[in-house]
Amino acid sequence: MRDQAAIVGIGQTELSRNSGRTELRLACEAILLALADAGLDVKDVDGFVRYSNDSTNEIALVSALGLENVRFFGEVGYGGSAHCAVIGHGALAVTSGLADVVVCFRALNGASGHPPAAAATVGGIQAFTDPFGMLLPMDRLALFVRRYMVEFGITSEHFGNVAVSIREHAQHNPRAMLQRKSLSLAEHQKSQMVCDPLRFADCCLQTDGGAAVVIVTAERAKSLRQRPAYIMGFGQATGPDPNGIVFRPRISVSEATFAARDAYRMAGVDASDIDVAQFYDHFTPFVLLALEAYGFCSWGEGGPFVADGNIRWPGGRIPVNTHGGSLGEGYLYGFNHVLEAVRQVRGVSTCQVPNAEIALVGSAVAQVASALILRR
Amino acid sequence: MSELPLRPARPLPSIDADSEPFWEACRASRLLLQKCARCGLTRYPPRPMCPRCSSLESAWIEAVGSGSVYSWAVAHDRAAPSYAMVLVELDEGPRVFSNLLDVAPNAIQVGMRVEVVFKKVSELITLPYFVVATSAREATADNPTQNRANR
Repeated sequence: MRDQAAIVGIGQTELSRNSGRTELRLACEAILLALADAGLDVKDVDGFVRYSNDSTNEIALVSALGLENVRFFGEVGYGGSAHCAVIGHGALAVTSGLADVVVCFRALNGASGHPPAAAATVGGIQAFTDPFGMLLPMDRLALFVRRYMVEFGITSEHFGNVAVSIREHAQHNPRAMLQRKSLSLAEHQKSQMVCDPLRFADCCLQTDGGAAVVIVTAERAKSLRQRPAYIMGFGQATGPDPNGIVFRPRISVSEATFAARDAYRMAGVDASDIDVAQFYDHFTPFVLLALEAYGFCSWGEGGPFVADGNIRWPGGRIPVNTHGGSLGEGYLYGFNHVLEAVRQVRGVSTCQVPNAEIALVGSAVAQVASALILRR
Repeated sequence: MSELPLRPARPLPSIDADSEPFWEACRASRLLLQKCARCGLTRYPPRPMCPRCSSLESAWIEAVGSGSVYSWAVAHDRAAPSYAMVLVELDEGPRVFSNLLDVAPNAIQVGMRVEVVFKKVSELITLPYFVVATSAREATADNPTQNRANR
């Protein structure tokens, strides 16, 4: 599978707190931008892979884009954990010949949209969590974070260093929602606890916007207008007993280590070959977990690793979230991280790592994980 | 304050064939765990199959109701009082998620001993909660500096 497919077009709408448009419209805009970037026609699209929690489904797009025949479509579940897996599934589709031009996307009004109405009852595994007030993503993950802190001696300041580093990268990015709002460690430490041990400043943004990419075979990529971002490797994984998040044997290490293993193996590289990384940063602690799971430091060492400046651009050993991430650019469930990785291998990031050749995208989310490795 | 989230209302659990005996026992203030009939693995929450040996047969055993805090968090909300969430490792092995009642947030520690209490919340649903175990309550009163450990 290595290097058989490539991302050849990227498109992203503006990111805001109120798009004034529907999620379907945002998806269409992002897809048109990505196709224009690739130099392909709308009518060339014959495959889609989406997040299962996206409100825009395949047949809505088939109708909206006026497509005659779509030959491949699929979805990946579990929220942001899907952000690399959708690319992997797209690569599988074009490599196998099931489709020629696959679009992956994420479009939402995460800031201006209304949350779904609360259900009166809940079944399945959530019957054993939600009635006790586990109601928001931060509630689902806070116990994981606490256990991580207790087992490894990690503090809120370690999380603050993550936020400060990534928010600094946003200052260079005109697309970033928080481009004009820096964050100091002192400000992070004064930020209110929302679900102790998580502070408001540990949490990602809420965003209205859309992003899309176009995937074709490596062979076809050669004739298109942009420098291809070759898909070297990808992986998706659960660990043991993920159902309900908190009932697994250990809640201080991430199953991302399995996705990392598979992506590195397909790509034929390891952590030492990675020039730049985009990690899922819905909450700052998971950047530390990702650094550990993807092999940049040992278990429990993520805090000191970041405190030493290793994820900063310019000059850090492994600059992380060079666009400002979910914390500073915008929260599209990690999909904007895929676009930033493409920009890095194209050489056009606002925090460009010099001669970046191999870019990693990954999540350490605490239920399922996915990983993606792109190269120039 | 404006940085605090606004959570939706708590749902009630819906009862199904896999969990019905568990919720029936809660109404009688008993905390039940499943024990695999083939390999003896004890598990929670209820599920149809043993994850170790794949047996579809199990029995219900009653937990003593004692355990220790494995992890904890405190949810702060714009429109509701703060509450403590805990993952309790029961002495029988499995871990149960619930709330820790009647405790100051800065008194909660990993490893603290807790015991189950039951509160009726609807006609069909009584929920298992936890409180600090009597012996542990006395210990933390004598040693306030212990409260800052393991935060």
